[in-house]
Amino acid sequence: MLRIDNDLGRFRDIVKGRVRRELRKYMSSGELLGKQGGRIVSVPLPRIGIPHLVYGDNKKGVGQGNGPGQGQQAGEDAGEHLLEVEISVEELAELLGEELELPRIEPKGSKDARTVRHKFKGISQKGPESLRHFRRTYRQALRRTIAAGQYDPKRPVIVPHKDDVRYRSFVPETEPRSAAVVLYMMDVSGSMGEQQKEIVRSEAFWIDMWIRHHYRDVDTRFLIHDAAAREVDRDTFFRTRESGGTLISSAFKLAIQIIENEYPLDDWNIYPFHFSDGDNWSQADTRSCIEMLKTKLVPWSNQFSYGQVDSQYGSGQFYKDLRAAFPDDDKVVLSRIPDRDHIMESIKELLGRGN
Amino acid sequence: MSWRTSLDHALDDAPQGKVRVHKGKAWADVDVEKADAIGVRIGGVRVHRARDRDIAAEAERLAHDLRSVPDPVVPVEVDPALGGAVLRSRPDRMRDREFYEVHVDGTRETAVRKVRVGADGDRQDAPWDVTREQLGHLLDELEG
Repeated sequence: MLRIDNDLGRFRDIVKGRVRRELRKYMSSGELLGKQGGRIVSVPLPRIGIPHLVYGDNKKGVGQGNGPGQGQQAGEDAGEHLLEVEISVEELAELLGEELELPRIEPKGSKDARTVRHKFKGISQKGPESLRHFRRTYRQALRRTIAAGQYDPKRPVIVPHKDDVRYRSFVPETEPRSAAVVLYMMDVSGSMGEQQKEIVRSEAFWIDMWIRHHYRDVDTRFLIHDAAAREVDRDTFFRTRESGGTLISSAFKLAIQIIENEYPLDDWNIYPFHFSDGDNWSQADTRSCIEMLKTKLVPWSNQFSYGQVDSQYGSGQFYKDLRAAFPDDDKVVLSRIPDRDHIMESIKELLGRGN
Repeated sequence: MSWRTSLDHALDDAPQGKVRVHKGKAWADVDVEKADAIGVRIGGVRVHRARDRDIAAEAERLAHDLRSVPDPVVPVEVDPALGGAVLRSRPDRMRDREFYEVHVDGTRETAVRKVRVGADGDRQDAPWDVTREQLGHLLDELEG
């Protein structure tokens, strides 16, 4: 091991320690949002203190001259910048799990989607030059030369003919993979303000990270709704605001439709998350929601999660209705989020069962 | 007969409970907790108009015209397809975690109540003290 590896390891430990200490701040401020690129998250850290030389009292003596300037005036140089370090999604998810004491998610039963992968395990007489198998080509040429009686051990020159050339070829293989689909549903009706959506955005970021940590393949779908639901991309999900009334059932209907059409229950671990301020338009619609949850969404899912974000107008009724409808169901997890400072607790509630 | 006259008669007859008052073909239900000669403590008011109104236009009108409610209200959700609209006090004008909520229900009914947000975020109806005169104005404005 090179010495630099030791130093790098120590540096990573320092960074992880800092990130762990600042995790609550990151979770409530949303500082990390938008800094995720593939499997890496860029984390802004205050400059990490490293040992450095400090000037003494500047007593005149042998070999000592005047030190740096003195006084209380502001410096002219730029101030300290935040240092951005890159940390893998896996490491960040581990920190999240340790900090919140989250249990690991256990993929349920034999829900392994089958995927076809192409592996270069075969040999073919035809193929592109880039896949030419030198050893097999040589062996074939040697075999032909010996069979033809042309092989001279004193002068073992082997000249491959066109027919001797062999190529690597791929063989399709079916292999299992643990797969999950996360359906984020959000109420974007007029009563959901920017602050509420920012809270949902932060929660979704950390939830996403935790689930991706446990599954090899994760599909993420974003559904927004007021009185009608539609599927959108991630960016639209967090930016849209409608002025219409709230029919939560519209989102549940669309989620059911997506699952029925695209995610066979035997193959996929299903995680629906719904966020709202809880102001559903009518009790009739709430009854319809509960019916859909009881007959389809909850039985189909590993866990159904509902996060209710408070606004200045307090908290809506939907949370209470769900709590009354599912008093003891381990697969239905409800969380109230009064403000940004409670994001961490809410994530712990939503992910704390390890479903 | 004006709302105020009708209201005075009704409150004098039954100064507590649900009080129904009429003005022509329109009527209003007032939840009265207690009333005296000057003031009334109400739980909420619902006005039934004699004529249909466009829901979106009515929400706009209320946001502009409703002056008997202490805080200005703004449309929060307006959905003619669902048959209603909700208006609430402007967040920056809310005091002591209390707000006013106006429901436009269908093309003929409008209700208003005062809501208090508890420490746990739960909403409760809050008593609303008004003079009889203010209550008369409120009914006028809700009818439009």
